[in-house]
Amino acid sequence: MDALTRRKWDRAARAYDLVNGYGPERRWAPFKRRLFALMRGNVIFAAVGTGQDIQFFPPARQITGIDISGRMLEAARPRAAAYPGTLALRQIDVRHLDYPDGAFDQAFTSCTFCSVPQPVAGLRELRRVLKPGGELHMFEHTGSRYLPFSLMLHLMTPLSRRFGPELNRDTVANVASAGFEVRAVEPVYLDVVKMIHAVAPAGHESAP
Amino acid sequence: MFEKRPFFVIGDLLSNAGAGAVVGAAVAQLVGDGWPLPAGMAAGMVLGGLVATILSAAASLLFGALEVMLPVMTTGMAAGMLVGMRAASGSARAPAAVGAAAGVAVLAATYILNARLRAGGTRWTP
Repeated sequence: MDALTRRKWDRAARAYDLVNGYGPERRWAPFKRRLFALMRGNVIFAAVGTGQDIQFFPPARQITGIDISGRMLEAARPRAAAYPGTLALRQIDVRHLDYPDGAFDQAFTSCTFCSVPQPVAGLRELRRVLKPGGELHMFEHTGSRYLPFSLMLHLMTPLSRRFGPELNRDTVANVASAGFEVRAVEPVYLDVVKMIHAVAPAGHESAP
Repeated sequence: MFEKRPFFVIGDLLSNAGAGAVVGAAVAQLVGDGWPLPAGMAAGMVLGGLVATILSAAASLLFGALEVMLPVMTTGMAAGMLVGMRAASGSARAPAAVGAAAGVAVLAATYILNARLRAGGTRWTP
């Protein structure tokens, strides 16, 4: 497991709910509810963090929530315990999953691939553990094509990556690079916050 | 496609108008009559951007992350440039009001751009 990344998010866990728990989560609530309403079958959720998103999960689903940070998962446990369905938490790096090929029907992410080092490697792992035709549904923030936003996001990233996420990633391109078929991209705020929907193509297990 | 929830609309307005007013007042203290116009604008933009970054971090706790940071930081730069330009050319009246007006204009522009981009997105159909 990547110790640097784990330590960074262990440190971030202390203030995570204070920074993100009220304004951002309330603002994004309707979009996340709609996205997570798509959950069906055996679901992997990367990265579950402090479990802020659990409040938006539909009931009676079978979900495995993973995260690289033990501190984040500690904060998530009470929320997971209160979830009216099956929600297992595991500390594991999304780039090195130990699940067999095709173990899951769907993968969900929420502000995850702004933070995973080598995001394409992590997305490839998610593709590997999805069944052929399995769905990837993401709620992510990315860089922007528009000035002055693109400039701001580039300028802030060297600082933001020390404490948390990168702000200038092209996650839609990363999803395609990892071998997914991108089916839909739905903007939530400008071209920065978005929902990305993709499918693992059939016969993908043998792909690199 | 516009944000319609009153809490966030009012929060966006307060954040941008407030940041614009603070930046306008701050830049008017820095830039004076006799500054070269480009220097006044550049100094205003840099100071405005820095002040607005700090203000946006505080406002984002209540009203949202990037939905607050991006327009408020843009407001900071725009209000700083505008007030810096006015101050350098000798018309430094009501800098806070000018900054607040710049904030409202920036917010309106981002709302319109956001609505256009959201209308152009593609929805998931299983």
